[in-house]
Amino acid sequence: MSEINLDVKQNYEYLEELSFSEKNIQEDPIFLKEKDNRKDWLKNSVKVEHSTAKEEMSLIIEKKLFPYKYGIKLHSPKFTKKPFFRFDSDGPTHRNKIENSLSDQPITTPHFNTYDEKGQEFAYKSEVLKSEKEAKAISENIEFGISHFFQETNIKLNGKDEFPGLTTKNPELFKIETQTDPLNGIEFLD
Amino acid sequence: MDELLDIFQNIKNDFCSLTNYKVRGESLEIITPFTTLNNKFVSVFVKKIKDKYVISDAGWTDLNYYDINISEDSDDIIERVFAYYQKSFDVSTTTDKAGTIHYFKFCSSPIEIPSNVYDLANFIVGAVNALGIRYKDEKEEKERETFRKDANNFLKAHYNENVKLRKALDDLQNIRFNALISKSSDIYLVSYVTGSSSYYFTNDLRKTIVNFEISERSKYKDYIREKVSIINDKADGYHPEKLSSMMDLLQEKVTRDPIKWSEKERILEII
Repeated sequence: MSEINLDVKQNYEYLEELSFSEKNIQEDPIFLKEKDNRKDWLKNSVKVEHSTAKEEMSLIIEKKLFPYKYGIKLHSPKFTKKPFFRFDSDGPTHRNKIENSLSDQPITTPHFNTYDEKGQEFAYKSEVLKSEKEAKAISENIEFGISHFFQETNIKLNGKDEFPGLTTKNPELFKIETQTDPLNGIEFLD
Repeated sequence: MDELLDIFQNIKNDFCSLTNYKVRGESLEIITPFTTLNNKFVSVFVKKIKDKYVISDAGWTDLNYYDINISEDSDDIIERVFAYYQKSFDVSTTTDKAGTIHYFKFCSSPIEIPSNVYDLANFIVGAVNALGIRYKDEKEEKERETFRKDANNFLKAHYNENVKLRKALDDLQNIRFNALISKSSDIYLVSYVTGSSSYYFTNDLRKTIVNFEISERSKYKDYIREKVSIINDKADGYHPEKLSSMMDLLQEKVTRDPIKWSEKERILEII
């Protein structure tokens, strides 16, 4: 039996409300900072205002410079310890145990992650992500990813259907080409 | 027979369908059929470098892409587990410019690649799952911490500045008592006994007995006025019927009958 998120299991409707009801952020652009322990990661979180719930909520954006990977998450630590809604641009394929057929269980990245009514974590691809071409474009460009995440989770920027830009102390970091070969430049055999 | 063969064929087809790939520049990501306990399929990456084939985890284990809630304060155990798995599967490591560890294997001919993919994937499953184990017993930690706080507060409330917590005798630095109370030139050694199971409780009792025994060798022996043990009779691990022989032994090492927490006011009569 996989780990069950009891906070979600006991209050699934609230998870749905937090995930899909209208939300708003004010910060634009969002400034990404280098992580203290991992200099090749940029990260920040901004406050999210929810239209109905008074829950403290933040939007977390993380970007790894090489190989290119990013994640976008919604987190309400008072509701549940782990982020309850995530987007992974890359990384491991998730196994959806809730599917009866084994061959239907793998959900490759990019994908969204959240919980079902039993508190079980599952991954899914939105209609947009099911298109290989669109999925590739989104996984290689964080701004496309943010735009798609905002649509999926109903987040507005100051009440409008827009999304924030990203900035960082060293803009050069954003110019690094999307490097798709994760084994490039690593010395395996001396 | 046909029906049984159909079942087999169905299983084989489904198992095989799990193995997938993504092309990543000059590398090939193999999404293997192996999953971690938190339902992530393990990926390994294959690339031809010079005249060899490298099979690597691309740093995903070290980067925690498998999203494990890693237990803190268990680095020493995790290191041993990784060393064990690495040796068993003959896995090498290298570090990239950002400091990420890459676990990899290599081989010379294409025919060896599947076997190496199989081994590296098994290595990742084992190592990643080991990262998620709670090596410390949380219930026990909580039990110990709660009792220690309660007992410390009780002693501090009654003996103020005279109490030193988690303190050793000057000449026996390795043996720390839960509390050391000094009054003029008299020393009172206090040891707590608790545990969330009878195993932990007995262990704690054994430790108390040994500590009191060793204190006999201190040069301050003549100043030790009383050796007091406080028994947490409210703990889940407190089963007097299982402890009788150990309690008899403790009785020999202390200067006063062990004091049950439910009768803690008796401490005030002694100290």
